[in-house]
Amino acid sequence: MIKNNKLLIASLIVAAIVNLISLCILNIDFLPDFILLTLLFWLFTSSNVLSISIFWSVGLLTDIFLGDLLGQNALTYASCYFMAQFYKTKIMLTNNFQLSIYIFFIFLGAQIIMLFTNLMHELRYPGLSYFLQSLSAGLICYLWSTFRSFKFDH
Amino acid sequence: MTRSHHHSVKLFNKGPSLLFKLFLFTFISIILMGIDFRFHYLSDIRQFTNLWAKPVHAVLNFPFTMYDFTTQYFSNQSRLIQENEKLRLDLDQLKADLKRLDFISQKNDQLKNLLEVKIAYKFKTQAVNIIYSRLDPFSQKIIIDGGQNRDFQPGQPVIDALGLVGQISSVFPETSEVTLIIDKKMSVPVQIQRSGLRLITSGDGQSETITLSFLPHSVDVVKGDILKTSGIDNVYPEGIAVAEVLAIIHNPKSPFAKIACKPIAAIRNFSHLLVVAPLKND
Repeated sequence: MIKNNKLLIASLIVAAIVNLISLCILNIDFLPDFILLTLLFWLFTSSNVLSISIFWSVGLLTDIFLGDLLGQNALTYASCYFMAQFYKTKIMLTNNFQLSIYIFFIFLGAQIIMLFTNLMHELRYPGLSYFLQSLSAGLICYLWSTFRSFKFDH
Repeated sequence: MTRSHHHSVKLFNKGPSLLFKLFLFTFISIILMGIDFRFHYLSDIRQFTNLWAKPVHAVLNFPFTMYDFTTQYFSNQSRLIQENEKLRLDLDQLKADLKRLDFISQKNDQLKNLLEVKIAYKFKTQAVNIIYSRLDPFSQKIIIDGGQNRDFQPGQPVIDALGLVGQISSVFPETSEVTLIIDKKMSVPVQIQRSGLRLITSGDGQSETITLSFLPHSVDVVKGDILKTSGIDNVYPEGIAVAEVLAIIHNPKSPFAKIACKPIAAIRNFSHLLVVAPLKND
């Protein structure tokens, strides 16, 4: 449970720095979007704090700071919130492995939306390896939840 | 009583549904993307964010810079001596080549003067460092040190010691974005060194190659041909090596042959580049 918004903001700043390291310094293709992963983490642990507008706003800020097409991350993050929230009440998540699979599918949805918006303005198809990010997101989620017991916010 | 009265004042008990919110945000996002794609108004905001991001990149780069410095410092002395000897030999070789090239250059200039061909330009370059590669899986771009502070302009060619690397696509106060020649949106007018045939390359985007498209099957191109900039566009100076022909693919179903080329510049292995100054016609 988030006690106040400071923790959420701090975790998002750390996620943004990790994103910068993985994107710009290490040049690793398969690492996922850590900002989205952090938002989903807080959504699953303290769903009452986050809303679709927060997801959308964080996405918009990401667009501005990464210099991407304005609105593409915002659309992706808002859609992820919808996917996570809409099906959360319909799917029984009883263990961490199931949660990882769920995160994998949410990331896959996010990547398909990103791919679609990028292909719409004539950018290239990056190949199947692009979808490794979804796998790594699921894996990181599984490792994190195993390392530190995940308490779902029902 | 007071509580129930207070509840009755509330106009809506329930906010809009999640699906409605998703539609609303999707709609706003699509409008933003459309406007940004059409009018590029985000570039002004990027000027500001780029300034903010540069120190962060410098801090993040620090451990890697330190690592490079330390490994270089503790290099094996014998290896350095060997390298030194090899460099001396290379230097002698280059001096000999340079003398020969000077002679050829002088002769060439004389011939050009005789034919009253005006030497249109002589290009100058500025050395820059690569700060980082933009790992956008959809495009091929790098960020270099130097922007408006060094009078760089969009469109300036960027080369390395081997050949053409790309072209500056965006200029920020202290950095610039370079689109590599392998980017899908990059086209370069070239000339085959062997036959003088003029062509236009386009980036393949996906693999690290560039292609020559829409050429008839009978085109005079053979494997190993070297492509150099033709200079007809007044953007790229004439004679910069661009690529080497790797394969010529003849598909009987297509009226055109597809020619795959490998960039001559070390697209992924460089750390320093040269930005060519804009061409000035005399």
